[in-house]
Amino acid sequence: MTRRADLAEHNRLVKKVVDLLVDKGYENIKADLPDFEKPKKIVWQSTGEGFLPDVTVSGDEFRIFEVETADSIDDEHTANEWKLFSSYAEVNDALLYVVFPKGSVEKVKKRIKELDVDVCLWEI
Amino acid sequence: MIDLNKATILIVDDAENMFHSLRSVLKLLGFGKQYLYAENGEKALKVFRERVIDLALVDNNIPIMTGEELIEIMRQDDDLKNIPVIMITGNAKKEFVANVAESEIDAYILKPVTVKLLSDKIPQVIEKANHPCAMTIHLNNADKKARNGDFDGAIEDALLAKSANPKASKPLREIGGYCIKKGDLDEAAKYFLQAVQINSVDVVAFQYLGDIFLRKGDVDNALKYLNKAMQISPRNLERGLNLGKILLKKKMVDKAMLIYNKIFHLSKEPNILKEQVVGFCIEVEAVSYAIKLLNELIARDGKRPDLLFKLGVLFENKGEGAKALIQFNEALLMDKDNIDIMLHQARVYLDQGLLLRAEKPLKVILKMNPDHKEAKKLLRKCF
Repeated sequence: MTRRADLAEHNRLVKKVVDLLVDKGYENIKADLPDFEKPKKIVWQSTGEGFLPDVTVSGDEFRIFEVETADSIDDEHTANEWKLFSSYAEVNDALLYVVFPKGSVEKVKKRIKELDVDVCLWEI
Repeated sequence: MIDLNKATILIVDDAENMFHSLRSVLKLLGFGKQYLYAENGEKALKVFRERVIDLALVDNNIPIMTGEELIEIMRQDDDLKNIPVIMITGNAKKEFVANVAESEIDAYILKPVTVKLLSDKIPQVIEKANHPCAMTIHLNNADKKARNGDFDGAIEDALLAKSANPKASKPLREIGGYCIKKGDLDEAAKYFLQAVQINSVDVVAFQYLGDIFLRKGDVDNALKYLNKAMQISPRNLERGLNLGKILLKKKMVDKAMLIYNKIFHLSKEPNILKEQVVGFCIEVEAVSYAIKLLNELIARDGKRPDLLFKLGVLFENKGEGAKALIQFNEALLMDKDNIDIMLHQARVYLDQGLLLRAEKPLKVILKMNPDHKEAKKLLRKCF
């Protein structure tokens, strides 16, 4: 998949997450999509460096949704994001969801095991 | 003293015409005065306990319990243990003869039963009962002392029995048993080893040796002797189950399967034993064999929710979520309010990333039990 096609697929999945959250009744959704308020950047306290989550919702609990395509699961950038977001979730009693397309669950589980991160899985 | 001419004889056989035939022959031979009949082992035990029986002729192939099992029960009962018993059997195989030695049948007659066989064996058995040999007298004395807790005295008498009949393994086996009761396992092993040197089919001695080494934590020797006991007499299922469990613990699954297959073949209720073995397998993480047995049970016994649930848990633990869900879903069709199954189903859904599906069983659990902590914890993930 080309970089452009990958981005389009990523944005399609992010939009699907947002739609499902809207269906679920969430109102305070922030998403890295046009026409949406962007989520707050999450940073390592030690270096100040960090990443923008794909989607966040706050309500009864703070939830972070990080969307991956089948091709992005094994990226180094993905590993760095998961490590940071899971660490943040642990400290702040939030929940991190790794969202992935159908057919990728085993690949995601393998990666999670390698990185030893605590996440919830969501296949869409 | 038993007077053969005036004896009361019990005939145990499920074929009543056999009772009539035997009674005619016995009358013809002048053996016995009164003849009683029992069609199975349970009724025979009732007669033994209600009447004074001088001699029993027991067919091995009877309903409810075999003749061998009936005699084993009698030999453990103080009131019945000394009744002379002749076993009638069509089985001349080595393992049957070993079992005869084990349950201490006084004599056995191979079918077809002839007048000559009866006229030879019955007087011999009555003579033996009326005039026990020196070995039997010493062993009876030993038994009385052991019952009073005098194991040293019992060993002394059993040693006299051994002197009276140095070629018999029974006195050595008895001494071994008394040593175990004294807590001296090494000494017991010494005597049991002597017993099996004298009698290479002394299945009881082999079993004791297996048990002793098992208690001492010497698994290899336990395996060696329990395996020997099974080779001689595979009918004792408990021995086989123990041996299989040892093999499973040692990850020797193929050998355990061979033994279990033999046991299942011999057992009247193999499915109950299979469920027991599934439990062992789960305990020692022999997952593939447990799955194989559960599939056999489900194929034979029909789809029971408890079996489907166990199978599902095994697939879940193996990381085969899709297969686990098939079992849990089927189990829930039959047992829809089972919280354990719903909880496992929800866990697998979550593990597969199927958050929206996990929500339903968790909500049902919380409706049934609003304080269910695990369901609450899991439901938090379902947003």
